[in-house]
Amino acid sequence: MSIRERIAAANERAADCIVESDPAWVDIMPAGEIVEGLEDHMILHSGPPIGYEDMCGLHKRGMISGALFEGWAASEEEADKMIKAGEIKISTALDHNTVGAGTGIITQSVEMMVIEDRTSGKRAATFPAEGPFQGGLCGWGLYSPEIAENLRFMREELFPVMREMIISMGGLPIKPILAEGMQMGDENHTRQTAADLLFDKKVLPFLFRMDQEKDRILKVIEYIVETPRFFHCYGQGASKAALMAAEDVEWSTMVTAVGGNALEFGIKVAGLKGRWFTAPAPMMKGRYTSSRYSEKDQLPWIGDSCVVECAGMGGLAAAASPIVCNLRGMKLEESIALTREMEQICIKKNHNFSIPNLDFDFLPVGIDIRKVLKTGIAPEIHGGMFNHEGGLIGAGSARVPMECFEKAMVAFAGEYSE
Amino acid sequence: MAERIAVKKNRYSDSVSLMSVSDKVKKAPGVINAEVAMATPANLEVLASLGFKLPEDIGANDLVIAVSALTDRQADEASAMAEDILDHKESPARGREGNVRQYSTLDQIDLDKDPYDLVQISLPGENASEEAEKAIKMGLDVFIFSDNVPLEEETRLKRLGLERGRLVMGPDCGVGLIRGTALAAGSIIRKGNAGIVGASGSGAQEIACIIEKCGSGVSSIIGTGGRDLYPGNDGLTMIAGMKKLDVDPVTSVIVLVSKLADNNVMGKVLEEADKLNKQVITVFLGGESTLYDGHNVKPALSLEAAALEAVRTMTGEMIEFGFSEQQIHELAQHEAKKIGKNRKYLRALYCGGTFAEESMIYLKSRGSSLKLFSNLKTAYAQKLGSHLKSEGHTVLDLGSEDFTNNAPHPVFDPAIRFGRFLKEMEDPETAVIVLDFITGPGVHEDPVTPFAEAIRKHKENNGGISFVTAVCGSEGDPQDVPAKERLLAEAGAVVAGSNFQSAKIAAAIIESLNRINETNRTDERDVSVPGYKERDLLLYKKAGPPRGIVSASCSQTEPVNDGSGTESDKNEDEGLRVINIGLRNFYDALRKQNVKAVHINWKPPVKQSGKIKEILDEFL
Repeated sequence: MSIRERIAAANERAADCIVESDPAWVDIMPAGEIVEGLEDHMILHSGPPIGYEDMCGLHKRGMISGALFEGWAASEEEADKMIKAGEIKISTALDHNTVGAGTGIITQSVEMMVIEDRTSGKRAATFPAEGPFQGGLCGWGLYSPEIAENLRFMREELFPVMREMIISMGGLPIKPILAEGMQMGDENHTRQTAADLLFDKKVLPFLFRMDQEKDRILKVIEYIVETPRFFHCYGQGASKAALMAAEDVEWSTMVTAVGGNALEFGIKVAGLKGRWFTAPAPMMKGRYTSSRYSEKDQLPWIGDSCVVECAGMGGLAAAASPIVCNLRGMKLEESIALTREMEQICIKKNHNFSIPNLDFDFLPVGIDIRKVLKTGIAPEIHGGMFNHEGGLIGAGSARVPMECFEKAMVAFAGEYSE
Repeated sequence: MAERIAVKKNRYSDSVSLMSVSDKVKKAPGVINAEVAMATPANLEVLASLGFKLPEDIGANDLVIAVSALTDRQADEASAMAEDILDHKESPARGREGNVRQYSTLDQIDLDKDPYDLVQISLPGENASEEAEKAIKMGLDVFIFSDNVPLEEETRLKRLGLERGRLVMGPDCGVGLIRGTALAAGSIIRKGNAGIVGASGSGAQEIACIIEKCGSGVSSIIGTGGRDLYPGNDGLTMIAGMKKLDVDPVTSVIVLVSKLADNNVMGKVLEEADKLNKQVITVFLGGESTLYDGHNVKPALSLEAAALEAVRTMTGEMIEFGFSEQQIHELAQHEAKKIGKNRKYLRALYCGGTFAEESMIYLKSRGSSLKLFSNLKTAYAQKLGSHLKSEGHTVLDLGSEDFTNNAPHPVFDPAIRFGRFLKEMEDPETAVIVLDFITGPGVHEDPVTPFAEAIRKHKENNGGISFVTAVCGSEGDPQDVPAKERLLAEAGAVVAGSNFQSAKIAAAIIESLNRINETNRTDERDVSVPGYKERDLLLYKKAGPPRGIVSASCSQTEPVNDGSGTESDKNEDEGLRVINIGLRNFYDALRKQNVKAVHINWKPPVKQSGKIKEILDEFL
């Protein structure tokens, strides 16, 4: 087989890991038990690997918050000292079976939603939104007495009920919700409005039937219903689990991870397991939640939630969600054109996602670094805009820097040239 | 500072849409803060933090417009703007349905599900042939507007087309008319029985328009591109085109038009033409009549003559078209008398390359009294020192590379030609200005009015220049050709029915002027201001109502072989379906004709760095 044929076959296999995946929400577990390689005294973060000293303020604060949350340090100063001394290890979330949305602060006690790809058996874990605090500790790296109390509340009062529920359900299949939501205006990154409702419809009957005090059940319902974009963590978990299966495919030039740490932005490639290819983190273009904000408030790209783009959603699914594209003033036609543009850098079409706006054509899936370089078309990624204090100040999009693909391609050639 | 709060009770809009409303309003003049949001507790908090004082009785189901601006008026305006946007009043484009067919490349189109017949390509020359090849291989006919495609590429494409049974029109194909659909810069010609195969743009278009003006119609214009009769290309498209028309049940007469080209190839084309069942009329501009010796074709020496001969073949009637020789003579005297003292030169400013050529051939044939200059390299004129400055009698092709290297062709954007027109009007030696106007759904929406207005002003000020014009266009064109012709005549310009007549009239005026100047009888000059009545004198006469259009079933020529016509019969009933790559206005032109069309959002291929290119060559 020629190199090209080998790559084509490998890419087909890698993309099929996504297309044929069967993700289900199966459990809620502490990160220490479900996240592989997450040790005691270790804090995970978003984006490509980075040293503590180089981190942006948001990440640094997240590290300190993590140490305080775990009780490894009694004060911020002590936490800072311990991290600098190497007593607390730092690792990047995407190098484990998890995803660092936002700042991506994950420590052993963080409660995680467990998503299993029943096709491959791979399990990924993602942290849920923290109710009224949304990002809270994990996403925004914040830690305060209120957040501590809320985390305790989630862990002790909400999750035992939800865990019982999901186990009694025998797991909740994620893909049907993603697919149907995609037909209802979601692109499953910036917008989960439809998926949230579909999720509620699935779980509410089970919750009502549970042999629990009404009050406890109501608290769970309030949490699920009132947390915006509640389903986001499931879409990320489903994507990560599928991409983990693809990470084992040698010869594949498919992108398996993209993420930023506000300084650098990096990608990972299936056939180059464990390696990162980085460039300066891009800025996002989009709309701010308030006229108070402008670009000077915005942090360069931070977060790993673009696993959903790697799995063929988000920016690649622009056609499914003109309402999200309208954030940038795009019209329906332009949203459709954007997905058609993304088709040119993808390996195949995902028959699970048939899109009304595409006259029921399928969305593209599996970003091929070769095609990105050949066409000069960088993947469109959706995301939330953070300010320097860690607040979500808007939503928008950016393109993955071309430099990442160039570096990856050179490395791939080094690895696989005959 | 002024503040405005407006509450819309029980009005819902989703937060994403509202964010974009706020964003737009914030950019309005004088606006300091603008928030358009549902009055949820969280949003109320934001509003309060911005210092807005809100009424107490509002809740999450209410929509709030909160604006602060420098002045009262600006605050009012911004608040009103927010309401307009919410009510979708701000954008007239709204309600226009989105087009779900958005493709970036040809191969994204699944022809089984979304069928098309033809790809119209107007990309830069270096990119055109790649897309054309893809199209031919997908089983589609191609129409290539692009120029600068290497000759060997053209030959390769045309041979591939022959192999696959696909028609390859162009490169450098300006106009086309396939199954009633005008392509590129072409006109929407009335349907009829004349089939035209033309190498050039304006030549084929002119013949079609004259046929229409004579009351007949056209079945097809098959463009071949300017180099089809070069050795190598061997007339592949012209031959394929005429064969197609020979079996087309609607076509009863075939017109071949080209500039003079390679003798051997022209001979070969004529041999093929001899084999056809239908009458063939041929105009190879500049060709000697001996060229046609021994062939069955009917030669014509001008585009107009070819058109009139086609009409005669279809209707059995030789139409008296436009101005008679006597009328031209009188018109020339009338015009010459009004030309100002010291004005002596002809300045012809053409958009159509064939028109420039046809005029020069004609002017030259009038004898040596007209020494011509041109920006074109031609046997009929001396080359100008600079294309930017006229000398003596000058004939310009403003569609040639001299003028279009860094600017759009004048049929799309008249700006450069209009500038030159004004400059020629300022020249005290300019006596006659000749203008052609080309219309059609794919060209400028109103190429005529600015010129007509300038002519009117010049005439009102007794400027002393004579203007001779001709509109190459059809009644079906969106520009409303009859109205534009009247506009020109009312402004005081002569309006001829064809370019050939316009050249004739211009030459006659110059000759008449020379006679006046020779006799030096200044009393003959007429300085009266033209009035509306003059229009009747200046505007050519149309040839009556449509006539002689025959349907396929009662074709006047030999009956068509039933077997060969079946497939094209079937296709003829359905409209042409076109994929457009390149100029967006050609897509808009198709939409104006209610043709099924899709525009490809093509982007030029990127150039990779040396190292990456090397790797991709190996790995992709």
